[in-house]
Amino acid sequence: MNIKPVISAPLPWLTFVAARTFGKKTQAPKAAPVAGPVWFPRSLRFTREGKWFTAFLFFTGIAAINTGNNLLYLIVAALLSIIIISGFISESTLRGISVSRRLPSRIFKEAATPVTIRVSNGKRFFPSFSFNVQEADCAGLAAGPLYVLKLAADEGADRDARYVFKRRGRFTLLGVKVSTRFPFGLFLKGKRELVRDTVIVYPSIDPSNIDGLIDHRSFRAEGSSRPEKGSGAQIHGLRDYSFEDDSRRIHWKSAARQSRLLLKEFEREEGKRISIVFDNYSTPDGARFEALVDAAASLSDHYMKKGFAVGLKTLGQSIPPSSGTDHLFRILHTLALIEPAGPGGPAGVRPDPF
Amino acid sequence: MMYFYTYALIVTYFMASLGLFSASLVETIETPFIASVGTAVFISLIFNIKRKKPLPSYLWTIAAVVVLLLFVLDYLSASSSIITSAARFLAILLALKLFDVNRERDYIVVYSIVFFQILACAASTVSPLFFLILFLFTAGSIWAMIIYNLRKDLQEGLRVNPAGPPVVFGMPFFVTVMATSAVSLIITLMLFLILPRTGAGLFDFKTLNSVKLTGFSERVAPGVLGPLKKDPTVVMRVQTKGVKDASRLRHLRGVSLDRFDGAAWTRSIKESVVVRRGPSGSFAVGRPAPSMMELEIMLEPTDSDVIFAPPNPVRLEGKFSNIWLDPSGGMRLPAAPFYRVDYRVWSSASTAPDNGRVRGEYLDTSFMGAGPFARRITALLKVILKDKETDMEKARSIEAYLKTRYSYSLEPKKGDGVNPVDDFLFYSKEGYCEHYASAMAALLRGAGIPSRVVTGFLPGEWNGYGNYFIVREQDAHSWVEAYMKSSGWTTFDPTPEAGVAPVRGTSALALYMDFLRLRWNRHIIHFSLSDQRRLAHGVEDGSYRLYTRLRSAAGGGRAAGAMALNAAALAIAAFLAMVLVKSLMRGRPRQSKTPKFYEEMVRLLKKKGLSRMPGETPLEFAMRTGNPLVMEVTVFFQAERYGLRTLSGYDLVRAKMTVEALKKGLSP
Repeated sequence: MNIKPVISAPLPWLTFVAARTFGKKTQAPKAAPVAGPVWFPRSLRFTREGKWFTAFLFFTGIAAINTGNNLLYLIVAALLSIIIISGFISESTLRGISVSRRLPSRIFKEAATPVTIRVSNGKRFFPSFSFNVQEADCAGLAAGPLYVLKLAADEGADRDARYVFKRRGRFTLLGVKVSTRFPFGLFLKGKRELVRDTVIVYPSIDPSNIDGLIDHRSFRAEGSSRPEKGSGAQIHGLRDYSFEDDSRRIHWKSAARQSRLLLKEFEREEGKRISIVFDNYSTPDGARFEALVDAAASLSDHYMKKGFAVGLKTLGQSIPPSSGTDHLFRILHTLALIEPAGPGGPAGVRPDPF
Repeated sequence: MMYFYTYALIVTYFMASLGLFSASLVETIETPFIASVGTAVFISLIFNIKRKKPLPSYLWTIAAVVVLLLFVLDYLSASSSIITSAARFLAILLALKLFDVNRERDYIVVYSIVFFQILACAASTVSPLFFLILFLFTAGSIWAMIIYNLRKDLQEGLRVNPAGPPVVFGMPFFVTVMATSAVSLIITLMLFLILPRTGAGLFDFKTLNSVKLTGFSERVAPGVLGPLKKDPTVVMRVQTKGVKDASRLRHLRGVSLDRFDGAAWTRSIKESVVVRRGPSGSFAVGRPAPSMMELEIMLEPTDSDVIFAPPNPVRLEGKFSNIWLDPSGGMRLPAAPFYRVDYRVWSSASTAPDNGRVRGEYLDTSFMGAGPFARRITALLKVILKDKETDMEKARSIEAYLKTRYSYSLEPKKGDGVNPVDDFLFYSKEGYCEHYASAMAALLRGAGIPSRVVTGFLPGEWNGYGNYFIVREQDAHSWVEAYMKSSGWTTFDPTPEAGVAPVRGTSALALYMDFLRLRWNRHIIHFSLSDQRRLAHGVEDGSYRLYTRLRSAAGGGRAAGAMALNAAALAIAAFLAMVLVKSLMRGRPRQSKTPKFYEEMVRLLKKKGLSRMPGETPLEFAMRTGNPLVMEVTVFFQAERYGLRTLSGYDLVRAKMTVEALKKGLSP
């Protein structure tokens, strides 16, 4: 065949223009979670129906080539056109879909965590139909797919999902997978949306974790407590101010009423202080270690609710007893990230009252 | 709102009717069969509408096995074609399956059966109606696949069993389906053109409904063409390259016969040579001439092996392995094809003097004998050939004599002649082409001029829509070729005009439909590798022309400048269109902005003459209106706009509903 120069001449230019027009912009590099040497922007999988459809297509194609019957070629072309259209429509459905998630600030292991997923369709004219949004694979996270039937052009919708984190510790949620079988159900096409969130999952708090661990001496002390003076948080009483006292402790309101300086005295706190001692030696069984972490967390919560100032002593660090929700979550944070300290003794958790 | 079941039923019966329609196109499937299966399908529809208790599934299985056995029996005994048997089998299977559609799988089985019916139809028909079926099938499949897929997605995604489809299945959905189907059709046609074809068609569908051609066998008795003269069956379509060729085309030659035994004409010169395909891909059958007429002939499936061509063929191009050429220029295929044959033929416009020796068979007058018939012939020739010197003059005068002195009739009276020629010439004096041709050939031989009778076709009816001739059975014709020393074998047609130009009553619509059929046959049924090659060359040439034009435009010149301007405008338009499409498809980050429901409320209030003053906050404005609904919407708006949170599904619905309520409340 006589190949004229026209065939080859414009091609480099066409390639150049096409690359400039349709190619990805290099200015905004995305930290793509590269799974392998090749990363495709879309994933594609046959559904069962798709496999049948393709089998029919091959069957007809072979028949067409075998016989040279043009009507069979026409059928092959029609089937192929359906696949092509399916590709275009599914692409149009996935394009412009962006996802963000709102996670609660405190997440516990194995508790259903309400997460709000915001799905937006950034396309100006085309709606998106029938797609699923699912967390990208993340070890230790169970999150079901979220189904969206229709998202009109330039609209967003919030969907509530329930996530269950199967382990404690730090989780990095890399992104979500948006997938659709729309329009014909022949292929499952998906794309990854990068939505990075890092969360700390606290150990689970469950009263059943601490059966047999509660130190009843501490409760006795609580029951027979006769308040004594000390440096606690509760006001014990007022007395006259003397110069060696700290002026910051003057109770100004009473002083104004009684025209003399009165000093606030506080209760002692020894009776309501407890430290959770966690000997975080490694255990042969990882589950046993996790159970101990859960027990330590549940104990902390338990005593905190009972009004104790709770501290935590592990082999590596020590948190002095204190009270308040923030303090509890400080302990839980430590427990969320605690690792076995190596062999050396029996692992265990016990409350240690002062 | 339509329920899913109703939807599924509509689509299923639409597809089933397509299946029956395609079965009806399979040849040798008779109307009564289709009618009875159609009735069964109709009964199943009533059965399904009333939603009687479903029949047990095993019944269907048993029935299917029985039908399969019937299919095998049918193939072995009654029907000779496996396609026909398969089409019948599938039709019955379809009707049976329609009584057992309960689960989703059953619907898919129905659609698969219809698909195979269409395959069977494709293997058996060449009707343009197939295109309609395929289009409707594609549309139906798209429709069905979207519905089933959405239903499945809904069931899995929302964990509900939707009794009715959601609102997405409204009229816009239907329009979308039709638009998608139309796009699919365009892609189908484009793919059809570029799908790789094998060089030679390994298959050509052999039809049982071939056109029966008489008059082209080894023995032709005068009178056989008569009954055909009223038969409008199309035998071939002949496309000429331009009007000039069309006006030159007078006869399409079939076979020539050289021996008359008193009852029929036969071919005594039997030897033929095999012509094989030449290096250029065509068959050389004659000497090239400076002026040639090119024809493309699309011959319907016939039971004859004759290749029709104008006199003096030079070159032939077609999908044949080889052809047989006899010394008189007649061409035959190795066997009757029984399928549609498409070929191109080039023939010389002028007859070249043949220096070869003329065989004695063409002068054989043994049929005249020595009796009264021969004497009558001699007497008649004396009258006709009076003062005629050359062979050409003699032949012309015989032609003119027959044309003017004899009357054309399709039902000639029987005379007392010893043979049909005698009868025609001296007794009944009426007849049609064969009688005229036989008589002229006999007279020419009587005058010592070599002659032969030729059967073939007249060009038939001109179809102006596609610039081609429709040649029908009724155009079958017979004429004479005589050997002139000056110009070789020359055509003479002694039949009067009445017999050569029959009255046509074809309506414009029928002509147009025939044109469409031609297009279908030419561009779809007979699309081949060589067509693809031609197409590719066309594209190549076109782009090359454009390239050279652009290059010359770049070189300068006013006209070239204008062309360059056009090309640049075209390129810019294409680029803008591309950018537009891309921007339509591109996602963009959603910006925080006034939610739609609030905008709508502001619009509503504005209509009532209430609008926000400058400096007034939304909440102050809402309080000024004194409408609790406005207050509610404003609170939602503030939450969305300033509350750093996006409204969840419930709140959004609530806000929209409030706006709706407001709309109703405000309207008088």
